[in-house]
Amino acid sequence: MSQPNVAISATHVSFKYPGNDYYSLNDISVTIKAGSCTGIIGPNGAGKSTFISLLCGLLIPEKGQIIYHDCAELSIEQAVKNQVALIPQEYAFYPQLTIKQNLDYFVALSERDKYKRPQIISQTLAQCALSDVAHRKAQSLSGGYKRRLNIAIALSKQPTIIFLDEPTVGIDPISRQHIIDLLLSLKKAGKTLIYTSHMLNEVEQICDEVVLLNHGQAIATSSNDNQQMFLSVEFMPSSQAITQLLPSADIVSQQEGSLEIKIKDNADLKQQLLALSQAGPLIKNLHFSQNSIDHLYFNSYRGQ
Amino acid sequence: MLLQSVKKEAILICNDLHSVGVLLLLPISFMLIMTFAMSEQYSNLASKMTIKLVGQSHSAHGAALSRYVSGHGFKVVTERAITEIDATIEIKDGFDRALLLRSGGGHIELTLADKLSPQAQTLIKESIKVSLSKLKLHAYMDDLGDFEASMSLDEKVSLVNASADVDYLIVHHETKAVLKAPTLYSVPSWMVFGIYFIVLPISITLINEKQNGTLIRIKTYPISTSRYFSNKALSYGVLSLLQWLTLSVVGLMLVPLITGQPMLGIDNIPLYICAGLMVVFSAIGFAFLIASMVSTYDQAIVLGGGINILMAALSGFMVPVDIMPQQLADLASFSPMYWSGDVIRQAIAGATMIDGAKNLLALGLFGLISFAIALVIFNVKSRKLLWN
Repeated sequence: MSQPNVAISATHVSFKYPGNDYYSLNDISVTIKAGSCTGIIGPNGAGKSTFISLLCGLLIPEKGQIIYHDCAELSIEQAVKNQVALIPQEYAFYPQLTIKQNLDYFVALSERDKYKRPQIISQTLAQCALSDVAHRKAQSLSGGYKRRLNIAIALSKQPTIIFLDEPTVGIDPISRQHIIDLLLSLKKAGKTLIYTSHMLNEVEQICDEVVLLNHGQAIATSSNDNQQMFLSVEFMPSSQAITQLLPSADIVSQQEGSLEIKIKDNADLKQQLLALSQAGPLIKNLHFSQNSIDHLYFNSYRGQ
Repeated sequence: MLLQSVKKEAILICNDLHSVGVLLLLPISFMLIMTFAMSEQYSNLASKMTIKLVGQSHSAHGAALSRYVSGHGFKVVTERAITEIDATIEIKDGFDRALLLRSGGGHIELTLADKLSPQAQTLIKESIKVSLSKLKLHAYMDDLGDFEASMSLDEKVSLVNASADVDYLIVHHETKAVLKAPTLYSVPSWMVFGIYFIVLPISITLINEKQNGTLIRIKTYPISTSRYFSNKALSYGVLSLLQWLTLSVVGLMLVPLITGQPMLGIDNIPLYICAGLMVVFSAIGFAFLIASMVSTYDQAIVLGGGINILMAALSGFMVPVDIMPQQLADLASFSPMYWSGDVIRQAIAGATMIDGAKNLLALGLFGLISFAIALVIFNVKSRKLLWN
């Protein structure tokens, strides 16, 4: 059933590759909000590619359901053709063609009105800051420009949902920031982004929600709506009794000489800091962080 | 859409020197080389060969044999001459007597150089047999007193040659010079060879599109994989027709001009046009079949290039079908390259549309079946494409 403000929903989705006796994805339920950026992260082999392939209709789930809410009456394949653009990690274009020729071809493929095509191309070129190099062959461009062309081709399809796979890999920091700014502007313009990357700081910067996959299951989710705070404490290794000072703390991880506390709110933070102050010189370092994807990622795998 | 697709594929081919080389330079080079090679006449071939006469070469009949052999264009030397020898004729004792008496055997020993090709060996053997026949006539005439006492050996040889002439028995229906020209065989053959080599650029484009994620991106466009594949085939078909036109101009006009052969005119233009369309159709169907099967560049080169070369050899492009063993010649008649070369030759030589229909039909069916299988394979493979 169609839901407002939801772009895609996956409900209890499971998938098994032919010939395998185990599920590559098992009972995953994810809701992707319209106009948001959702990060799908996880280590290699976690099931990210399978999940994205299911979301964009390249695979059919064995169990469960995937719905594109703006085109709920259509098959996933049709909905994808209407709404989705993919930005693969590879340079998915023709290097021997110029930027303009690449866009000409892909816009023609999208079957837009012949008379609107020049306008779409010039808008896309401007949006991706490629107008000045439009007549250069793609193979002669720097990595940053090639990444932008990869994005520009997707945008020229005028999609509402964009799947991105590591769109900033292998480029310099300035080009990376340019692409991140472009993606943020797309989000602002109401596009729904589904983002896979191993660069957690980027995911944190761009994504509103994150789904963490491992062994074919969604093991954690995080969103800006339920921000969490963490207090990391480093202490003298001989002072294991320090935990006794924190009877009310929600300790999420503990190792020799360090522990991490999940902080509920400011009052909780104040209480834990007061408690720790009793330990005095035994404390080596205190670090406060908020809603870190790193936390989610590493703590989730530590708990596996 | 089709126009953009043709434009894109044309730019991709033109930007790839290997493709240009394979599609144009390779067939043109072959046309030239093979025309030059085939234009070598038997007389020219004989004039390059040296035959040495040893043993009783200075006997009465030995000297006459020397003249009859040299009459075929060979250079004949005696044992004193030091030169590179292609064949040696040793005339044994008693040869003069045995020639008329038909007694015994082995009075002539022929040794051929190992380096000689089978064609050259055949030419020498046949020429020596004819020379010996004339020598036998020479001996009979001498025995019957047909030669005047004052006649020199050269005059006797001339008289024997005139007596052995059989040309007056044969009525020659003069064929057009072009039908005897080697270009009629070399040009259509290597033109077809070049057209079928479209398999390489097509395979490489499809492999690239699959490997760099373009194909998976295209799957999100409002175009079915079947339509995309057919569009691509149509684009390459248009480019292949341009290649056909270029090779036709070069093959029919420039190659004869450069090699000094008669210009190849087209006697049945409608058949030539139909041949062009069907050859391109079958080549594209075959190319897409191979391209849909291969996954790597190595496979494309080995399978695409290898099958083309094998098919060309089987179709009589390298060794004429006429001189192949019967089983191989029969096999050639199942090769699309053979049908292609044959129907082009038919159009040039002025065969009727009905004459060419069998080849045209075979090419059309082959192209259709190949493309249908290719489409199924491409669709199955496309369905298996995954993100990353």
